[in-house]
Amino acid sequence: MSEFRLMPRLDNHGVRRLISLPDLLRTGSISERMEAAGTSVSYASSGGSRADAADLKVLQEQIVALAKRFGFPNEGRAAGRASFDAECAQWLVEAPIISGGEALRDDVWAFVACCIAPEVVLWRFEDGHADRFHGGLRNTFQRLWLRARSLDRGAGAPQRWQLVEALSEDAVVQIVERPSIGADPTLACAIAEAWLATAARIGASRMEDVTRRAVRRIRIDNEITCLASLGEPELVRRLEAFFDKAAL
Amino acid sequence: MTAIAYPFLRPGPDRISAGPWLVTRDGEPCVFADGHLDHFDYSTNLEAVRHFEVDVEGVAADTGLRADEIKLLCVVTFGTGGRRLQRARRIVTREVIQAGREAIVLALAIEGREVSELFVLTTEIILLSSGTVRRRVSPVTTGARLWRDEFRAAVEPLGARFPMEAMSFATVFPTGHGDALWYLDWSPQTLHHDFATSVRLLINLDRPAFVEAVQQADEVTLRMLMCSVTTQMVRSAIDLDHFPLDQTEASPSSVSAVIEAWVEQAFPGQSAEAVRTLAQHDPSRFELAIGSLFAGELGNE
Repeated sequence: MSEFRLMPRLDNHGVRRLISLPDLLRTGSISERMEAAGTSVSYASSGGSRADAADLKVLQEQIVALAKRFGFPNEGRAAGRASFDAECAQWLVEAPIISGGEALRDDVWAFVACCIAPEVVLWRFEDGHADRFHGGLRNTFQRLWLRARSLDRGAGAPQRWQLVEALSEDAVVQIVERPSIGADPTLACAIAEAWLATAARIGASRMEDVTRRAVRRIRIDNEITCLASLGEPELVRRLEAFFDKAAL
Repeated sequence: MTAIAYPFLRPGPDRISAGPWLVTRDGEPCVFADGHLDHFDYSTNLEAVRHFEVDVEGVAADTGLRADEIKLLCVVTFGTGGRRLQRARRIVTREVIQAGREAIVLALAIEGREVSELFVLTTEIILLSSGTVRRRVSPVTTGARLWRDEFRAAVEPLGARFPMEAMSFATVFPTGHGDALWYLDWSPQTLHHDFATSVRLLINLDRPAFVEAVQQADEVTLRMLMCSVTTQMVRSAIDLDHFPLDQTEASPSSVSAVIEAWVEQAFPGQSAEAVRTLAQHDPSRFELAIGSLFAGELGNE
């Protein structure tokens, strides 16, 4: 078993400190940003080996290289940035550097956004809102990792990442960013599959309202029914019925 | 916790006899002090076992179903990541329960590298099939949640309740404020963030007498300091329309929850709106109430 990689963590205090230094975010190096964050950067004290400077540099180079394919640093239209989101999401799940329990931590993703690739954050979200740097559902990279983790059909599956690529931003928010359903990839994937089938039937333009109604009902039903415990045929049937009803 | 009104009959609690989870590490039982497991890291792998028995006849009687037809499913869901709402969750154990198979042993392995901050084992009894339904409010839908309990274990040490850091204000604030004694680094805009990682009290190293008083836990100094800090945070929070945050959004360790606890302690039974009115119309009484809260608590941390 390979040794587990411990990523640096950045607390909220450090995030605020760094986003008050825009020049450092745009042009600084990883080490300069870490130095500015001071004691706000920490690691798990044991349980693996710390990601070293070379690991972090590789992570930075790979994110930047990916962003460059979509117009970073000077170009990039909305459609290109959406494509960046889909590709980056897949890459983050498949990349070996951030995994397991570390990938579930807000402070790890805060570090990635503030110290590893803040210039990509500012390209992807031009307003540079603080939420794009803080750990959480709005963090530039954590949101992508979460959607790929939730909507992954599995290694070896045909069109493994189709759900990540096909779902609208609104649908992703409705499904992935609701912990009661998004945290369980089995359930999240099944809902996304039902979304895809419904969109093919009624047209994507109608899906925003339909999705919101369907997901609201699914979340309510999931409180009294353990949807994740259902076998696949029953689960698909149940979820499609929610979408069908919402589309009436 | 939000209460759920189930639209179907559920069994009484005495119908399920659930033993405690026995969690072991390398064959040795783990001790959970206040729900916290010490010395855990990503290389730690755990085994968890519990004995579980369901009085199927009793469940059937309580829910208006036939004992010889009802089929139940016991599922264990493993959740981790985040303090309150888990970021990752999956069913790890499924065991069918029915007449003639009422006692089971639930066993599962927990891989350390998959655990983040805490783990939660949720055990549930789910309806697999109802058979003949005798009452209008009997559960009939496959998957109906009939019973649940939850075992929660934090695996990270809880930080100091009030993180402090000493630094030179001449360096931090080069354009002024170098003579200030302290500065509370936080933002009322991030009430949903974790208190321990988003609030920090900066003490000015350039004021050595003050630094020493804090380090020596001088009661008067600490009490005045804590009073000012609390007043600032409470006053800022109650001015926000969205304070206190909905319990479904904020964890018990969030900034909002900590401030809410202070408000409740200083102004028992009063709404945020009432406290806001008091702060506006009678600031002296407002600060007096907050000033009564602490007795050098920072010195105990």
